[in-house]
Parts: sequence; C-alpha cells; structure tokens
Amino acid sequence: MELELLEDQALILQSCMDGRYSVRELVNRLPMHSNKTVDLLKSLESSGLLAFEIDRSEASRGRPRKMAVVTELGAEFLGTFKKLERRRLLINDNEVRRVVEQVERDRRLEAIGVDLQQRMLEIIEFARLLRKH
Amino acid sequence: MLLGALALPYYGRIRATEDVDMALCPDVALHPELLEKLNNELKQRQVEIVTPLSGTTPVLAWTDFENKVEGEFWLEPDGVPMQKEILDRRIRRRFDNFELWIIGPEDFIVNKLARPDRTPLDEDDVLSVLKKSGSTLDMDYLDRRAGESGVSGLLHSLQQKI
Repeated sequence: MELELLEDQALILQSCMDGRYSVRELVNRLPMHSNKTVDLLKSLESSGLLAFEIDRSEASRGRPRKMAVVTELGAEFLGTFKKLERRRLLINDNEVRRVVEQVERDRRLEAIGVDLQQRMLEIIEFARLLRKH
Repeated sequence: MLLGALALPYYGRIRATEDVDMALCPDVALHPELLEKLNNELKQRQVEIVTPLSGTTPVLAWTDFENKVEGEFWLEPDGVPMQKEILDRRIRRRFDNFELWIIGPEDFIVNKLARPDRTPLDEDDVLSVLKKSGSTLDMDYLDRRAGESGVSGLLHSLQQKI
C-alpha cells in the first residue's frame, strides 16, 4: 500500500476520531478532492476501519444523515500508523540543504569573531519584540 | 540543565525560539517544598502554569504572556534519564549574569530524536549538530545512547543526509 494512501486514510480516521461528521461534512472538511474522499470512505468501511451510523439526534426532516464512526479496528489501525510515523524522518531534502547552509553561515560568523550565543539571544529578543507588537 | 533550542549555539546552528526547556534534578519531585517554591516563584512573576509538576505529571509547562515566552521544566526528559554519565557530559556556560548547565551534544541529539511529538524542526536541529560538531562528537557514546532510546535508525538516516 502506498504511503500517501495510508496517510490519507489516517487523516480521515483522525478526523472521525476528533468529531462526529457526516459524509458531506467530511467531504467539505478534508483537504482532498470530494471523489477521493468518498472512495476512501468506502474503502475504510470495506476494510472494517470505519462504520456509518444513522444520526437519530436530529429532527427527521429530509434524508437521514449517516455519520462516520471509527471502529475498534480503525482505532487500532490509527494508533499503529502513528507509531510508524515516528519511525521515519520528517524532513525533506530542501530542509537538509537549508540547515547545511545555516551551519556554514554560522561558521563564517564565528570566523570573524561573532559570539553565536549572543547573536542567538539577539535573534530571540528581536522575534519576541515582534510577537509583542 | 538547559535542553532544547537554547542549547544549540554551543554545538549547532543558531535560530529563533520562544521555548525554554529545562531538565530539573529528579530529586525535586521528592521535596514538595521545592515544587511549591518553584510554582510560587513562577506565579509571582505573573507566569501562568499550564500543568504543575506532580507525582504523575513529570513536566511543568508555563506561559509568560507578558514576555511572550513558553517553557517546560522536565523531571524526565525524553531519552535523557538524569543519570551520572549524562550529568558528567553537560557543559557549564555563562549567560549575562548567571551560569547554567547545558545538555551535552550527544544527549541533545538523543533528546530531540526521542520526543514523541518530534517535528521536522527537531530533525533540523539534530542535523545542524551533526554537521557542525560531527568531528568532535563521541560517536560510541552517541550510538549507545541512541540505541538505548530506540532512535538508532533515525540517527543513522540523518547522518547519511550530510
């Protein structure tokens, strides 16, 4: 199974853990194409990770809403996914290049006698003042 | 002992941060009067205590709204059991008018990688230490500590990036 698919499935499961949503609400809420959301919801239901319950809490006007509910298996799946997420790097190659450039910049500053501890405190103070105003 | 980004300028990159992370001596938990003194001191400074230290909560989280600073005082920092060899490797540094212990670079790396809420920023910080201080790090110690904290794979993958 592709990692991106797993991430999308986990995103839906997490959303359903965080709140009680109908299919329409999930389609509007999730940052993905509506067709993809519906396909994923069907796939999650078929895999036993998600179930749909009729919402009986509202006045019975119009079509009853089906609310997505994470199953026990779905909760286990999400927990395992989160653990696996911690076992991989989160940075990308652009960030690696940026950090390497920062370290080279700091070395140049040190070479001309800049106190890095003092410089960092100045940066922090500058950022703090920005936040205050 | 200072943890987190404020420890960075001694062996990694410099960057802005609004967090103050400190490790407290675990014995503090055995002395309620010390905990009370710490909590009172923060209150007197108009600092809001988000989670107070207790027997079941080994972290004191606080927010200083006036100065826009957040902080966490840890009794059990992630991946850094407050043992003698870790204390032996900390470094003493002077700030404006006071001195402070700073976590050693190898333990800084393990602490960052062992955080359950690790972010890309934490990995950036680790990379900067590996890049800047790689030749002076005690690699045998770092490997052992990373293994003990279950972050060997993450460490080795980051080492291959630079």
